[in-house]
Amino acid sequence: MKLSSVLLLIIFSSILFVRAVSDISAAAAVDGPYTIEASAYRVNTANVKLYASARCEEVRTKNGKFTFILQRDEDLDKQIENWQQFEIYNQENSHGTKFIDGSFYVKYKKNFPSTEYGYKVKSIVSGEATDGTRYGTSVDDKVGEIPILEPIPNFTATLAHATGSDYFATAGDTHEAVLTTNRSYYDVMWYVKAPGDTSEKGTNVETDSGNTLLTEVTLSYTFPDGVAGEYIITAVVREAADASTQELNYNVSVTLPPGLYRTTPYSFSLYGLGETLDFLVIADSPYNEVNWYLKKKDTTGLGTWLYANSGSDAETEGTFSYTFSSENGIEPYTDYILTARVERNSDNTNYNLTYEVNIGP
Amino acid sequence: MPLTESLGSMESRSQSVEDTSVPTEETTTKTDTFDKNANIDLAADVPTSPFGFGPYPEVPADYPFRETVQLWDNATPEHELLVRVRIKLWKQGTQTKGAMFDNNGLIYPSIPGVLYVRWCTIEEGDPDLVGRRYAGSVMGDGDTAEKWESSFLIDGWYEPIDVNSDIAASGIKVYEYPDGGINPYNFLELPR
Repeated sequence: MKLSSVLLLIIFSSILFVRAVSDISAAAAVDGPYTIEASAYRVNTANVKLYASARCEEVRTKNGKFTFILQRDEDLDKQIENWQQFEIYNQENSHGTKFIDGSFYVKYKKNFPSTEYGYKVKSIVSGEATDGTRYGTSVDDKVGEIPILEPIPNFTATLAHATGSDYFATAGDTHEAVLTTNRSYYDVMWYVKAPGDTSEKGTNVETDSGNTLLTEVTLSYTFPDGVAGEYIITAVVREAADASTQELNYNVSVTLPPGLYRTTPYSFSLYGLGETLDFLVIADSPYNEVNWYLKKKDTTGLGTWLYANSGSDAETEGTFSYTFSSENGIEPYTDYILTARVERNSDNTNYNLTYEVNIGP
Repeated sequence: MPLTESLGSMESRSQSVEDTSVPTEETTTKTDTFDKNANIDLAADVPTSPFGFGPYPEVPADYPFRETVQLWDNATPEHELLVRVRIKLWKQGTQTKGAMFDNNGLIYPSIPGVLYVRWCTIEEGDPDLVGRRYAGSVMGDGDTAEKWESSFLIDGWYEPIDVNSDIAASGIKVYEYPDGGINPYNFLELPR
């Protein structure tokens, strides 16, 4: 080999060497960003969820890797190599070191039974080189997150009118009651107790399943026409995990539509001769007087005057009790019309409200 | 079905499998430049793996970070195998975004539209959750994974039980872990 050829070979080799060193330096510069996430939370009194994820973009290291570790608080000081002893993942093949190249996404989830409160779960997702140097640009700490499972609070529920605290309604309106819970519920039984209902909670109008995932449910209920008074809406909710129950209720004052006088009930059918019936008039504003008249159904006019309720500035209800007896001239198997003639205080206008009474034997 | 079979059947991956264990064009050219009279040990200059995987394959011209990759400066055998598998897939027409060498010895390439999912069953705790399956691990392409988790899983966790769970129409291929992994030694025809 000529001397010039040897010199050229040396120069060429030097160029290659410099190029190689330059590229090694560049290798560190092209390490892409990566993100890590970890979280743990309690779903109910029996289960805890946690997850840890790592996502890298265009990482090109000669020795990049992710390490996933999930630990209980009492184990936080232990060395990484002891992770097998930890309770949460000791039966799982879903942790440890993953060597990566380029872009990759890894996420581990765990839903495990736990009734303990107040401990910490430490999730570590680290990206680093085998020589201990870290790569990536977004994180300079090995701990992705340290979620703390606080002592779980008692199951609580609140019940409210959907539109706020205005617990008044008009007969015929649809009312919405909203139940919210701090943890998922199993089911909710809704009851409505109408005026005059003597049962404990009233009628079970709806049952909603929470499917252990929901924390809010709404009842829509339409108050019947013509019935005024205090309604009680009750929700009996069962908690998802231990089926403990809570009962909540509130009252809704239902009034009749403005401008009208209504009575309840409207008709009385097949009552026996000699029975005493009670009648009620409810007004939406005070009245001066309520006069009660009775006639046979097939006759004209108001009939015979029987009784008067004297009103006042605040009186809105008038009651009347009458015995349909032969002593009062009532005949068996005859239909009668009882009329309440109401003189409204505000405009002195009279309103006639009628009841049909069917007398039997 | 092995991932490599699945990928081979796809239209965009119709190129033939290349045996990357043979000397590449680059190494051949380099050895030809030496003067036979220079008394240089040619075998010592052929770039070969320090982990016993033989000569390095040629890095495709459009391979990401080509200049860095072809330095073959990998700290562990796992990293060199990752790169070799990705290069071979690349030459077959599968342009992976990345790859992971898992604890089970298999390599899982990151390919848009492909995920590797391990299902877990809740066995204790809330009676209403017992028996439900959830995605205990999701690996693969990040965008695909996030799309799948948000659109297919219930609450981002649970397998749907009362809806059509056939997600083939979404274009996402889900391998049930450990399926879909590539045995690098078999794929690269390397001796153990």
